[in-house]
Amino acid sequence: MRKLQLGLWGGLILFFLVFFSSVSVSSSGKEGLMMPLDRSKSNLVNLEVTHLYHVLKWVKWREDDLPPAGKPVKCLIVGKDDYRFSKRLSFLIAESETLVAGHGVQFLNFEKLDDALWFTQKDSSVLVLVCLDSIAGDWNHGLFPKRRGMIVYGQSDKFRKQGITFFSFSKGNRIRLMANVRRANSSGVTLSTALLKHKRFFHIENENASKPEGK
Amino acid sequence: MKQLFITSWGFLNHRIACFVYIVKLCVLLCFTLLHITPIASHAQTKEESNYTSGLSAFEQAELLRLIDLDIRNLSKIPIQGVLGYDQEYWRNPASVHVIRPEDITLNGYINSVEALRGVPGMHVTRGLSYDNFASMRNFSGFSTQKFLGKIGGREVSQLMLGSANYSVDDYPIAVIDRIEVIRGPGASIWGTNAVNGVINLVTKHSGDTQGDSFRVVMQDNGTFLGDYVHGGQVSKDSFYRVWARSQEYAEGTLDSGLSARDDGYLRKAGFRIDKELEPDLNFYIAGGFATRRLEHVLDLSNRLLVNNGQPVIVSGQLGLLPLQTAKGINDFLFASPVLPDGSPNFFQGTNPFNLPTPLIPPTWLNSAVPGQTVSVLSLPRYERYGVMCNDSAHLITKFEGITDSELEWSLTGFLDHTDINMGHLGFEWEQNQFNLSFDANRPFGDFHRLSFGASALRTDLDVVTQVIDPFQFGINQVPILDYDQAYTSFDRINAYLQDSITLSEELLLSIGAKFEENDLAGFGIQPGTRLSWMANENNVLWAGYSKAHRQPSLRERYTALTPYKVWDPTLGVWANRSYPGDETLDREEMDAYELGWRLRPNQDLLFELSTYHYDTKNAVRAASSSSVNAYEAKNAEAYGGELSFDWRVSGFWRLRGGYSQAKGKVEGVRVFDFPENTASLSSHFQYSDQITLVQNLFYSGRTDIPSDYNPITIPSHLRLDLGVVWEPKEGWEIGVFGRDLLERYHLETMYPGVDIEPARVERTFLISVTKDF
Repeated sequence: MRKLQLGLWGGLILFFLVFFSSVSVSSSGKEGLMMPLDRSKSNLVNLEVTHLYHVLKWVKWREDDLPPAGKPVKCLIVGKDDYRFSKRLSFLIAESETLVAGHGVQFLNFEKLDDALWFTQKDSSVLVLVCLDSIAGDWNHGLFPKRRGMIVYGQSDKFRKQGITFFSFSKGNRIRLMANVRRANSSGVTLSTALLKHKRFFHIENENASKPEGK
Repeated sequence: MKQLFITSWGFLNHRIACFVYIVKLCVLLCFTLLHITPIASHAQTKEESNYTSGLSAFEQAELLRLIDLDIRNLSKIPIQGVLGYDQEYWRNPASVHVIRPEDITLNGYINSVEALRGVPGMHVTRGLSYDNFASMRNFSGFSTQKFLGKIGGREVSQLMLGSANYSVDDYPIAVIDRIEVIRGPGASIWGTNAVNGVINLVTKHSGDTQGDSFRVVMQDNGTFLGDYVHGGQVSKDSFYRVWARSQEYAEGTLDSGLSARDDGYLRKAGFRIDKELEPDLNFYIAGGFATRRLEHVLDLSNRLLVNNGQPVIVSGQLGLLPLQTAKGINDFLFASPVLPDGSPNFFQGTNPFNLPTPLIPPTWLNSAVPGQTVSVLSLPRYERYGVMCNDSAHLITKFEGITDSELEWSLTGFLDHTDINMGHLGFEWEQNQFNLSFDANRPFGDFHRLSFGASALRTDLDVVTQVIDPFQFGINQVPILDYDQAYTSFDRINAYLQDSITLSEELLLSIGAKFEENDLAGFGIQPGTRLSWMANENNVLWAGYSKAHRQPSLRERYTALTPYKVWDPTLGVWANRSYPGDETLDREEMDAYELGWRLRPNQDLLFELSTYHYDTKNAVRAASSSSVNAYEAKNAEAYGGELSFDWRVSGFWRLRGGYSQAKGKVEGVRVFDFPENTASLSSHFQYSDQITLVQNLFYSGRTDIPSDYNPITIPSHLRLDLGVVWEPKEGWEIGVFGRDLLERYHLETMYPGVDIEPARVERTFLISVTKDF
């Protein structure tokens, strides 16, 4: 054990040797690996994604609206994804082996809202539409896909009063989530009782529109 | 000149040898590390699909941490954190280890203090059956700790001894959210006494402890611990919990095989009520009480000394000889022309001691332990038993909220009462503390987050001392510990300001200072700055500088120690030998430089390296034998580092380990009262969905325990714990553990000055049954 008594200088030499060697290795190692951007933005997106992950577990679809067995549910991420919202969400879903209504999830990215809406109408396995902040200006009430089983999540406060199922916003340095019960019901999806149980951490629009499942 | 050349050449030779050795070790470690990285990366690549590309390993690990949180705790996570507050943030420029409740139950630790054993840089020892002693990164001394202890939002250090009793202040595991062990001073936020670091035990919100939970631990030697927690809901936005703990301490054994007579019990109970007053305004009130009774021994075997005019014989005191030894060699001393070492005996034919008859004072007769001797000294054993009582109660309340202008604030107040009676020494104190503190933070522009706060603490003391029975003879009878009653109230006020600055995408900086006015340490400014640099997606480098203060304890400054009596042959009386406290002891001031590196090659593997250099002015140390005081201030230096890893080898196997090196010098002279090398390795192997195999290995290097009476050396030791944990159904955990399996017993520490020999840390077996909520 005495041989391990390196001393401070030994430790520092070791420190810098290994540090710089690993910096060079990892910098050149992975193609396409982007540096995380602004600290608070990264944290913000992490929290938004984690909230959405919980939301997906609380939504119940009718059997008729789901894709055939063995086929994945499609989730479209729309907008400029500078902070890798899509990667983060797909990572969480994959790592936790979460199934949405018993189906795997396939993530597709679209830059333009029009393209995503067109795809939504074309493919009935699209059940989740995630609108990033960058396309908030393009969205309006009337764009909500007129198809059963759809839920739409908006990434920022700009989606307030825009008739979407969920949106998140930051207040008091925390992420808050707003759920629109009326919109969910009109889309033929049910919000589980777990949502009401966590009402203290959520804001619910149009709560009296109808009773959630089990009530 | 030749001498100089030889010395220089020898020195150079030594340096070259060291350098070659270091280079060899570096090459070996680099080789190992660089090979671990691709292996681990390859392991990941097999399953890596598109979803991981674009996310760094740190970000992946962070996301996995977040999905483990329930929605309540997720909703509390700040978007923009304050550097120094958010300990688990992967870019945090500090050396932090977080202990979770499962780290305690899965490893077979009885309480949270034992769990500190696995933290690199911490040295946890067991001296008596009931307590573990924790110290951090060197210069922790023994009875005085040099880190800040916060438990459940309260600062728990006792002003008298400068240490905390974590066993008494501990909580049931079920209500503990986490224990943050922050190595190194965080002076600008934590303030005075956070010299070597901070231990911050955080309890859960009552809403997270709903239902019933219990934990029972039984050890083969009779030690028992039982916890029960019940939580319920009062209304949709208010929750409560109540809890109780009962603990029995089995009697230990001394190194010689004699009974340590240190058994006892602890009972404690508490509550917490949480209420959401408004959507962004929360409130809680919590409280508890504890009562502990323990037997404790004061060894008297060498507390009556005679002066034989000879150099040191036994006690470490010049020319002083334990009375029993003098009596034992009495005939020889006065009859033989030569002493045992062959030197002339100047006392032949005389009786220079002029010792009274009987030699042993009558008050000692009841203290003799029949048929027993102190193994080291072969002396008759004299002991004094007393009950050590520790009664305490506390009440804490906290309001916290967020305003529309994004100001996060909290207002905390607590009352704390402690009554500690060291019956074996005849020393008792009551301490009442009243604290009020305000903390806040808010953003300033896009790149700054300002945190600030202020607090006031009032401490009142009532100290009672008595002369214990064995010392009720001779002239001028004084207690062993005698506190100067002139100082019974102490105030401390402070304020701090810190800015967390996002300098760029890669650089985070915190800079701030704490300003404090303290009756024991005067006015002081404790600045600190920390920088975090994300070199790339796998590496974070950080550095820190802090100037930290520690206030001297009342024991060090105002308490006189009279540990023994010396026969005065001139007057023919037993005279007290006292070492007063030193009122001139100033606050300790430490300049701390830290450098750290965090490497995460992939989400399953994390390496951390922390190095430090502490330069301390006026470090309070137990005085050398030449000093007239019990403690003295010295300039000290400490340096070292910790290397740790956390590796999820596969979905069912997790390995964690650490190595720590800590070196210290006092006035340029190396000291060894903290092990220079410690290491740990922990393996959790999930054999099946329900069974986990646990292995823990701990190494601790040699430690010298300084003492004027009986300095001892604790040899290095290796400890192996093995366990099997069975989870028959969700929320239930049944564990069987064997601890210290490599040897029947070993030694770890002892109370210098109170004990004369250390107690054994014996091989034990325990079973634990835990039911979560």
